[in-house]
Amino acid sequence: MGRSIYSALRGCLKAALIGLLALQCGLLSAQLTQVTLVLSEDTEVHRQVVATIQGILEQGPGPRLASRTLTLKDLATRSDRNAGELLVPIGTAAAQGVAALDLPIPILNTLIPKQVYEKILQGQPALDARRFSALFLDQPPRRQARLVRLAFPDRLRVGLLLGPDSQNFQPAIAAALRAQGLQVAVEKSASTEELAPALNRLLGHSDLLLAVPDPLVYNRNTLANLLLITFRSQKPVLGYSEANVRAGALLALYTSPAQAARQTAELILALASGRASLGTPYYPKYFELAINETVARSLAISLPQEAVLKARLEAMESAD
Amino acid sequence: MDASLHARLLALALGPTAVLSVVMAAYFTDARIDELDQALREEGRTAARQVAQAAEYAVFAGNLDFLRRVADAAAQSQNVRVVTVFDRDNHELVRHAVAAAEASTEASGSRLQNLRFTAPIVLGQSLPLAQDMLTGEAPADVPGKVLGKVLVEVSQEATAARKRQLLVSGLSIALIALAVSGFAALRLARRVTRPILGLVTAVERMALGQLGVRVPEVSRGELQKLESGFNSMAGALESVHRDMQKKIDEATALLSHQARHDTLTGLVNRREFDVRLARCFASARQHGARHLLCFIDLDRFKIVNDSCGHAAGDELLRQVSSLLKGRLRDRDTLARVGGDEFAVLLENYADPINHGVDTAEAMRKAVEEYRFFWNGKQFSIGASIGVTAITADSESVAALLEQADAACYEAKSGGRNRVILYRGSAAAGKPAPLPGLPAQIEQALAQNTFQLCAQPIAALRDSIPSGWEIFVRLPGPGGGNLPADEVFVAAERYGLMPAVDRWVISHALANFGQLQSAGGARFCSINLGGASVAETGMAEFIAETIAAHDVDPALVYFELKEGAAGNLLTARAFMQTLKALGCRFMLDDFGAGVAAFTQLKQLPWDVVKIDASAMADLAPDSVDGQMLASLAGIARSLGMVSVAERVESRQVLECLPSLGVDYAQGEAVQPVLRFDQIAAA
Repeated sequence: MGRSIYSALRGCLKAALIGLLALQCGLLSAQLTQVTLVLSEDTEVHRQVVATIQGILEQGPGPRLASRTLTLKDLATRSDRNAGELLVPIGTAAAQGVAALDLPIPILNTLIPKQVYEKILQGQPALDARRFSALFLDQPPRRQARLVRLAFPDRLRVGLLLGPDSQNFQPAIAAALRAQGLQVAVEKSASTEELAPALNRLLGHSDLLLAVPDPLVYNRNTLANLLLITFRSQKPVLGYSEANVRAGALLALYTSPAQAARQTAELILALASGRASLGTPYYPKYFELAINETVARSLAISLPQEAVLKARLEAMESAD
Repeated sequence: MDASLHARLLALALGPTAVLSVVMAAYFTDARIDELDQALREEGRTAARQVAQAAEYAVFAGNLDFLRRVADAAAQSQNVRVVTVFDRDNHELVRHAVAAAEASTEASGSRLQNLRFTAPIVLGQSLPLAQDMLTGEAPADVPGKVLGKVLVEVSQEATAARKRQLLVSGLSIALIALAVSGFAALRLARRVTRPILGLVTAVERMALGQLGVRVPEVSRGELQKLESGFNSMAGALESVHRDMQKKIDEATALLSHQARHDTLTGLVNRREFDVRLARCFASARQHGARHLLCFIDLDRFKIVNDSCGHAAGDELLRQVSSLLKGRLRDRDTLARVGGDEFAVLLENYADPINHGVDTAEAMRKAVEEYRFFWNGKQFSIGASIGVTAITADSESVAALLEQADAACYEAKSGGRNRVILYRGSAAAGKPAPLPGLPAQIEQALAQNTFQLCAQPIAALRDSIPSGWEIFVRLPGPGGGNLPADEVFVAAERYGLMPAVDRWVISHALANFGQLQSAGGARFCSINLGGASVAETGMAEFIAETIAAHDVDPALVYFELKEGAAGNLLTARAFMQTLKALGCRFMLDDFGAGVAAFTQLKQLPWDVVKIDASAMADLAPDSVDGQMLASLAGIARSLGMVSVAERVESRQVLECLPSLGVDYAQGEAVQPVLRFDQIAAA
């Protein structure tokens, strides 16, 4: 029995190595020479992101990468293809649009929620995961779990309110939380109507709510209500965006577009230099931490300074 | 009165309506205003509450954008002007003010202050949004923590404008109601007051004597009954008044006639005659008209009256009246001025002396030729007529009367049954005593120049006391006394008799003691005229005088002539008063007339005096003797004593005792003595 497991593991490892080699040979047989940034929409944020990426790429070491920016429409109509081209769709819409084109070009999605990425993969099984990677906006579960421990030393029961799109994350998040010695409570809601009762139930046996992005659960229409329910229960919410904090989440870990752009550029450079590969999607390396002081006061929770918390988290991560 | 009735009716009809409409309008306006206020407050409270509820999340979360939206939404409410949200520490989080200062509010001057409503923002105070999603189960342990508060300022401008509108409309409705009910009340009041005012006016006019006034019967119901009742009442009143007026007029005419006419003869009486005489005198003096005044004194009338009674006398007077009237023109005036005296005014004679005397002569002749028949007896009478002319030279009415009286007197004294024309005192040939007689009597009364005389009434038997008859004589200018008969006639005619009698009574009683001591006589007898008997207070005067002189009333006798006691009742009352005192009464001149016999029975006489002067032959077996004896016998049988008076011969005096007479008086017994003579004796 042990032998069979071992041989299976070896088989897998072998297969992986072979795959990797093949990828190396296949995909990067042609050296990365051109980066095409794809925008679905022309906003200030997106322009900033483009500018940041291009700025870093230009100053990057090694051979110079040709970079260009195309809209999704332009991309669809253009037929010129470079062998060493990398498509970098920026944002959810661009990611979905590029995926739909089903081009035989390596793609690095950026500024995209993990959930969107996984949904695209689920919808298009034909996509070659080795050529379709992403840099998520979502924070890595371990970072969030650590923050919980840091910020709320005496709140050990973490509640998760999950919807249809986010329930896949439960195992990873739960594992990360448990790894930090935290208990996990989960409530799921399949519809908007069930949200409030589910949240109330959840808060009954949780000390805080860890918000996991899900369009059904946390959207413009539901957020205020959900937050109000947590206020009334005197339970803090750990959000996933700066907007969450503005809306009333006690604190949030998030990656700003600039940070995401920076990491994207660094990733492209690493890809170009072969120090990295497209295989596994990436969690953001850089992050910000925001605290809603009003809510903290309202809840009578005293938190360490944002910078202090951030520094501790960073220290923990560098120690890994 | 009319105004007040009208006003009262109006007030009655209008008052309750006015009060009611004003009260209702005030009530409903007030209620509406109250509702408006309530609504405004409710709006403010609701807004504050809603903002507080909606702000719960945002304040907790510090979500100012959300909070602004909430405030903005609240400020959309009509009257909300300012929405301010404060946090727990009273720091202003959001302030939303509506710029709603309209021009009209500024113009209204007094800017109304906004009403302020606050509501606390409490955590878990309500679950408005959660409830949508919850199945009703709220968390049991709602902390109720205060997060802050909401201040909502609500403008009163719109409400105030609406209030003004309400007030105006309420007032208008009240005014319209008042006007309508006022109009109705005015008509109602007029319908009631108009007939009543008509009645009032009618009553007032009726009170002013307009008995013919009627009201139109135009109303209905009670008012109509009132009107018809008034009309029938007025009709009855008018007819009664008319009847009464007629009777009054008749009575007045009768009285007026009676006042001016003699009831017996229907001729003008003395009063009316005086009026007409005065008129004639005036016309003579002013216009020189010439008239004639006659006095007619019937001769021998007394005989008829005394022998046949008053009825005969009255009849004679009536016949003579018509006889005389037949001799006169219509415009002449014939008046009866005394018992048997007439006066005639012959007006407007060109030659009054001749024509007047002719007319007077014609009258005299007619009377002379006239014969009066009574109970188979025949009487002839005559007329003594005095005539005087009324001319511009006439002195006065009184002088004219005196002149006529003097002429008449002259006619009488000159042998009666003749006409004498007054020709002035000088022309009359002798002094006229009569015209001055009343004045002399008055003078004598005033100056006490009457001569008090007495004549003994001698008892013919020893068993009875003697007495004195006391009387007066009026001394004439020539020394002797004036004729007693004429003096007394004049005194009677001019109403001086009672005064003369009083004079005699007081003087006689004052000197009674002197009489007693002088002649040994026991009683005194005083004459009283008919006017004295009738005079009110005479009996009292006598009683007082008797008492004043301390005279025994039983010794005082009064002599009354047969006719003097004219009214039996008066005479009896007078006599009984004095008899109660103790005085006694003598019937004078008994047997001279017929009436005396009745009076003898009807009045309480004590003594009867029989005139013996006419009895020449008083021998006991003669007719005169028998007559006297029977008279004395009648007296005695009635419990009276008899006195034979005017006994002038010795022979008669001697017969008297045998005829049963108790007393004798006269020249043959003892002549009249003056009081001073008695005193001297």
